[in-house]
Formats: sequence, C-alpha cells, structure tokens
Amino acid sequence: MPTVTRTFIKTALVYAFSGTLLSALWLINLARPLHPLLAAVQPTAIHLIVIGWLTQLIVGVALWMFPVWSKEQPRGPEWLSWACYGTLNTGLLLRALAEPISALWATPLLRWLLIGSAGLQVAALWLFAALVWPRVRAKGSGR
Amino acid sequence: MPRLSCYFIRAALIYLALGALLGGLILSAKGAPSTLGWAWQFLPAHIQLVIGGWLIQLSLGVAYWILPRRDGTGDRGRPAAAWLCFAALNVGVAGAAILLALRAVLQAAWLDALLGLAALGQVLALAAFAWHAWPRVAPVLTQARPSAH
Repeated sequence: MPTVTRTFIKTALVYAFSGTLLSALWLINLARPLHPLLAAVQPTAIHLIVIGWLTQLIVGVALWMFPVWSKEQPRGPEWLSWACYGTLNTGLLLRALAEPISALWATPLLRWLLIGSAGLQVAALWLFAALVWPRVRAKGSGR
Repeated sequence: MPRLSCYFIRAALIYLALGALLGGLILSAKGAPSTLGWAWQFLPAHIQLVIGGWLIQLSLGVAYWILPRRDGTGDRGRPAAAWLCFAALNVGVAGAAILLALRAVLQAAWLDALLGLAALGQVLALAAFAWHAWPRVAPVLTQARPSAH
C-alpha cells in the first residue's frame, strides 16, 4: 500500500473517531445541556464523518486500487495526491475550528476562515476527481 | 473494470464535483450571509448529490466490479438489472436535485409530482441492484480460470 494511501486511510480513521465523538457529544448535549458550543457542532460532526471519514477513505483506496495511470506513473503524479491530501485536511480542520465557534461568536476572521475552508475542500475534491478520471476505464482500453 | 462500473464511477465523480461546489457555496454562506445567503436553497440538492450521486453510486459501481463472478467465464449475471439501476439512479438523483433547487423558488403541484417520480426512480434503482447483486454475495462462486501459461 503506497504511503499516500496509508496517510489518507489513517487520517480517515482519526476523523471517524472524532466525528463520532462530536456527534455523541451533540446527542448528550440535547438530553443534558453541557455547553452552548455543543449545540452548534452537528453540521461539523456530519461533515467530519461524510468527508473526513467516508470520502477520505474512498480517496485513499481509489488512489491505490483503481487501474494504473501508466507504467511509469501507476498512480499519476504523486504530488497531486499529496496536494489533494493537504487541501482536503487543511480545509476540514479549518471548518472544524471555525464553524461551531462562528455559530456563537461570528468574527470577521472566523468568517474568512469558513470561506477559505470551503474553497480548500472544493479544490481538493475537484483535484481528486481530475486525478482518478483517467484511471476509470474499461479493461483493455489502455491510455 | 467493466464498462458499466466506468459509467457508475465517472457519474459519481461528476456528482462529487457538483455536490462539493454546492457544499462550498453553502459553507461560504455562513461566512458571507449577506452576499451568499441564497446558497442555502441548494442544501437539499447538495445532500442528494453527495449521498445518492456520489457515495451510493460509487459504492454500486465498485460492487459491480469487485463482487465475485457467477461462473468461470466471468459472467456477472442479471446485467439488465444493473443497467436499469444505473439509469434509474441517475434519472432519480439528477431529477431530485434539479427539482429540489427549483422548488425553492417555485411552488407547483407538478414539481411535487415529479419529485415523487424521482424518489421512486431511486428506490427502483436500489431494488434492481439488490436483485442483480444478491446471487453474487456468496462464499466462492467461480473456479479459477485456467492459466495462460
């Protein structure tokens, strides 16, 4: 398993745990209010699970298992995979930080962090789509 | 990778790109509510695109490719059901996403009726895929193909 795939999958596991933990805290907070911040974490928890866990796991496994790009570069330019990893996780971490806090105390800085986080995540997912698109092909239809 | 899996996976990548774009606009609307507040009307479409168009469609495409074959010839079985699934899922998801976006600005009985049809398309798609895949979910179905050497 290539290094970039191992990094994606291990990071995905961390998000699976942290997203589930955040979701559990949100549920507990519904039954027994603990902190006002916890009332605002539901969208963050959902995205940690759907993007941080599910989509990141798919990205890591797809980069590893899809038909090869070429003999010389089986998984395409590796720096693009790392760029996808960096932008996706920087975007998600910014969101995890800024989204719940800005729901309570919206400052200009937090608002810009949210916009930046959105741009980074969109860029990462478009990059992934572009990176694997040429590798989605029927058996025998070589490049 | 079989041709149908290519179609499923490429369609899933298109939905991922569109769903991510709408999601990015909605998240940005939290940062710039006065200029991007309109993006919230795309939340139901965003959910359709990401869950039905991306996650479910990708998993079906990979399952069609990876699940055990039915015999030594490589036959996957019940191909019509898998193709029906691809068609119905894409009509259902794309239809629901467009109709949900329209519904934010337009209230009409025909929109609701079409939305119901799109929902039925999605249900039909998943039923058809289950019909296709059920016999393939088994311990060992195929004998190894004879070696070329």
